[in-house]
Amino acid sequence: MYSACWQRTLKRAGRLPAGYNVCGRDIHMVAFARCFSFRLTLWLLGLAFTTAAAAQSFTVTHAKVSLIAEKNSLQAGQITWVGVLFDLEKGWHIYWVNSGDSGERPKIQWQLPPGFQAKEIRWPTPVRLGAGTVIDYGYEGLVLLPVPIQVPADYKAGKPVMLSADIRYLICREVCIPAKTQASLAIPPTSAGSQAEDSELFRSTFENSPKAWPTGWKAQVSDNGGFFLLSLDTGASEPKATFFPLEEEQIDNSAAQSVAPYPRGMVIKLKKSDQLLKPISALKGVVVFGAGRAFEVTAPVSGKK
Amino acid sequence: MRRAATCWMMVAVAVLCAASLGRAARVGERAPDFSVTDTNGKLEKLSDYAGKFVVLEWSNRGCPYTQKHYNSGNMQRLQRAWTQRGVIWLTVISSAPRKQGYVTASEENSWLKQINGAPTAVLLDPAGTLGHLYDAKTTPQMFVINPQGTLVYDGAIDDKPTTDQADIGRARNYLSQALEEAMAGKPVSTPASRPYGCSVKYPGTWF
Repeated sequence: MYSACWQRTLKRAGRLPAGYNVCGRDIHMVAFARCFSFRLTLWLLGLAFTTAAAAQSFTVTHAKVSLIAEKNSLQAGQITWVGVLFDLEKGWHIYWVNSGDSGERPKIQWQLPPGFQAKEIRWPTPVRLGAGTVIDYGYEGLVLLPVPIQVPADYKAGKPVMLSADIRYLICREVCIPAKTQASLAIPPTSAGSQAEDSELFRSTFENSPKAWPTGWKAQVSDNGGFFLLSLDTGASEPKATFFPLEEEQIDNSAAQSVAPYPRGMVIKLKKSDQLLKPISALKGVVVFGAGRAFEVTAPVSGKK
Repeated sequence: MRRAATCWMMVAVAVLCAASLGRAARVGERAPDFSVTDTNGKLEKLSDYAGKFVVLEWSNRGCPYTQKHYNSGNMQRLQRAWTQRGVIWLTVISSAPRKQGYVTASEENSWLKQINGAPTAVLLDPAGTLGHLYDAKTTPQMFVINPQGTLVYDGAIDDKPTTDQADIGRARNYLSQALEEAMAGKPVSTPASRPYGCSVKYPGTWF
């Protein structure tokens, strides 16, 4: 699918800056020509025609995508954090694990050396996107999707380790574009150079990711027919909260979530999804209180079903 | 202390229960009637098709999920197969003017010829009225109404929520399954699913 020239470039550069030139052509143009259907090409060229002069470079996919590592060394038998970094053009977004009413979550297919094992993405806290009756969950701006990678127990430092991934994602503004990109990252045999900038991105991403539900807090749901009433007993009155459902089609994503605080917590009223026809045993998701404090919650459902 | 907390919680619940919202079309309930002009200028009313199965298909030809099913010919095949069995197939376009997928009647008719489309009719809903009546969220999204006028399916076209045409062959087609089962007098085994695709480009929304 990719030219040898493209592959060499990818291997040389872990990250591709916008407008990077290869073989006299913009790198994104090269990738673009191979990744997109003819129809989409025509459409995009039409769109670009008015904004881009003949030889001017532009980022066709509206995102710079690269692989970064939290640390530039590996330890046998340990977890190392590697992440897909999306630098999204203003106005464009990608999606959370549950994309909400429309859209699709990014998918990563890893090519790792023998013995290395990639686990699930640790999804940062999403935001609500959209307006009216269609609400999605996703990310804008600079987004890191961290993935824990298990280093084999018999790993011996000595050679650089090459981690590669095929990343498929849907990127949307008013319109949506399915994109596919390949990214690679070489971890050097010995720790060399500074990783401070990338480590900081991991640190801030983890800080903005949902934490485990604290012991001692309570969460329960009562089913009153058309609505779920999610009661969260956190020991303190919380005036603001937003619930992000992990499962699709449990709640109506676009319905307003009203919050009633009480001295030891709050109740969030969630309209049921039109597509939810069977009773559910639990509501699973992420609850975000004021100031962005986010927690993973699983609340058993009781009452009328 | 515990009792006081429980009491407060009940107060909070009572406050929230006081307000309630209206509900759009829902599986198992009567499908709301509508009258919308099609691309041939004919007024299409749901009640005119009482006694027949009716499929509503939300569409936006600029959307890559819609394109998956049209560029592969899958949607046209389904339209042909089911209309030949007496089903009324109404494609609905709820894209607002200047938004992706918005078309005029003549544009849509020449497009239909070009792609060999075979719906019974294409309904133009640029104000989004019919879209909101059925609470259509995505393109594609499919609804099935039985001859008694009850909504028996609301959701995705199939169980592979991707833009990849290669997935069509591996997918379980929820629409065909619902129609087969309902026509055989059986309950629909998957009466609702999460529709997948692009958001419907309603007026006023920005994506």
